[in-house]
Amino acid sequence: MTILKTHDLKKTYRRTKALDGVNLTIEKGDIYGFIGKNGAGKTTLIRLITGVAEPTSGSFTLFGQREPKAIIKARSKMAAVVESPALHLNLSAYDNLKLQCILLGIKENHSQVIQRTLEKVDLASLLIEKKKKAKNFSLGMRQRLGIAMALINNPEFLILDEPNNGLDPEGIRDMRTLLLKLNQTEGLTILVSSHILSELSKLATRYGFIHQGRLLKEITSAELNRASRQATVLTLNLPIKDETIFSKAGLQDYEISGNQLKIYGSQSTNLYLSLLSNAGFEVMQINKEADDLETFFMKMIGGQSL
Amino acid sequence: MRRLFALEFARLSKQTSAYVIFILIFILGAFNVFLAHVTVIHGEGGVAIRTFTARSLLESSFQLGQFQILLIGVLSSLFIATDISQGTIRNKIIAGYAKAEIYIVQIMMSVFIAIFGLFLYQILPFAFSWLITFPITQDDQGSLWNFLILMGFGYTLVILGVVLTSWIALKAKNTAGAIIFTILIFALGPTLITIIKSIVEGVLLINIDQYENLALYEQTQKDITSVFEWIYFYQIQRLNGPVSLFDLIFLDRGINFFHPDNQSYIWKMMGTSMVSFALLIGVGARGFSKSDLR
Repeated sequence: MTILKTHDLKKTYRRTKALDGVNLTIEKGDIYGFIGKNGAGKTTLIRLITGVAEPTSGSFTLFGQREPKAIIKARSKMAAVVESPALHLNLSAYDNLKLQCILLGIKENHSQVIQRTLEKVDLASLLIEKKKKAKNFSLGMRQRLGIAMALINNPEFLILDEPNNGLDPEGIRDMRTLLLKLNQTEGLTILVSSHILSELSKLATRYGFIHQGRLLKEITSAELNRASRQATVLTLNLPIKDETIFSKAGLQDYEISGNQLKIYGSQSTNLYLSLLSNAGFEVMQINKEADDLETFFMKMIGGQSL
Repeated sequence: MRRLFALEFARLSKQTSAYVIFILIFILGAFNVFLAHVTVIHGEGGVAIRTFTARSLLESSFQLGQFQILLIGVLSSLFIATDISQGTIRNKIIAGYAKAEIYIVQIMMSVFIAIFGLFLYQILPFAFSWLITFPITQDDQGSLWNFLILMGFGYTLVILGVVLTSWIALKAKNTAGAIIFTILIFALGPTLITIIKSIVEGVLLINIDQYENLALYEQTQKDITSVFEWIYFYQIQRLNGPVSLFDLIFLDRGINFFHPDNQSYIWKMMGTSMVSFALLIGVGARGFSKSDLR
């Protein structure tokens, strides 16, 4: 089942094209990693989906609904934390969650729902500090409270925009564990945008790469693994100055960098080792290497750093 | 929409600034009673010849430049602008409410704040004036119904002002901007309206009845040669003090709405108010639906 599908979605702010014809698909059960540089259009797309901003042209289908009025209703099945968590800063965590219960029309006892939700995001300690106002929370605590508010009504689709902002390494790990648990146990579909690609690679089942308002590619994590080039890296005792020893032997798919020789694909390393030995080199170390998500993305956008 | 109202009332009940402002407004109302008490004029034999009446209550309650009206405006703007600046308005959109629905609820909340604020301000003066001048119809307003109609007009104008500032608060999208605009509208609005009114009167050379010295007025009117002179010599003085709302609606203060000649005032006022509300709510909601939030 398709949860979200965008159709040539465009958003222009004055003369700037923030989104330029994005066609993106998120299936039920996906953890969709949305990757792009600052200003690439990630938040803009999330703002359009959540209804905070209106598209200049194009449309999208949410839970199979494409008509604007039907989309508004369909939003009740989703939750989102867009940019910074939307909290009533002068109220406590409990009061923030209580207001969210009222907004969502939760009929169950609010205190029980709040307790259950806070336990789910490991924030049960906040129930003790009932009077502490949200404005006095750390950024990480606010982020988690924002997620608790999003999860209070058991949504089917969760959108998180840079959820790791302000989290310490332990918080980042906890967030990953929580999202994986929600995805695996409750079947929650998640769209998560992040700059921390190493973190996304541990989480996402599908990726969308956006650059300058255009969706460059959508790929599953399995496809990414296949596309990532495997290489064997040999570290030698001396720098290689004469490449002809390999080219004369008809070898092509390799790369030399100082005293390192990178042999791509599944080629046998034996021939290389024998050529190196004949030329008087000594192999100090042998490693296996593959392109990580960041390298893959940077290659895709032409080597520009994030 | 019911849930949105429930949320907004819960939010208002948890806002400290609301309690502070409402208490302040109530205290101002009590002060009004005290002021009326000390300014009672006694005639021969100690008999009060001017006392605190329903009319004096009305006159003191509906001065646009007065502090209690400004406080009501500031509270409603603050209530709306905080929702936008903290981003909590996004929660409502994400929860599946249409922007137009959210807009209308916000405006209705500002109407509630205006009515409740005026009520808090008037409750003590009203109680005392009732006790002093019972029955209420003893003053020169005519019947109780006449009094209520006049009161209704006063409320309508304050509500219109608050709805206008709420609309601006929703457009401004930040708390400071919303508060500044509110103060400007309530503080400078009456002056601006007076200037516009003066220009209109100057162009039409309409005789207006606030001049007590009619002979002087008629004498000087003969010397008027231009609109500029009219404004400069005869209208600029009106900018000195706060303008009564009843000046703004072109009503004589002692008007009896049930007199056949004055019936048209009611319809004009009702028509103007309805059109203004329709514009602010209808056009505002449409604009808000198409706008991007922070």
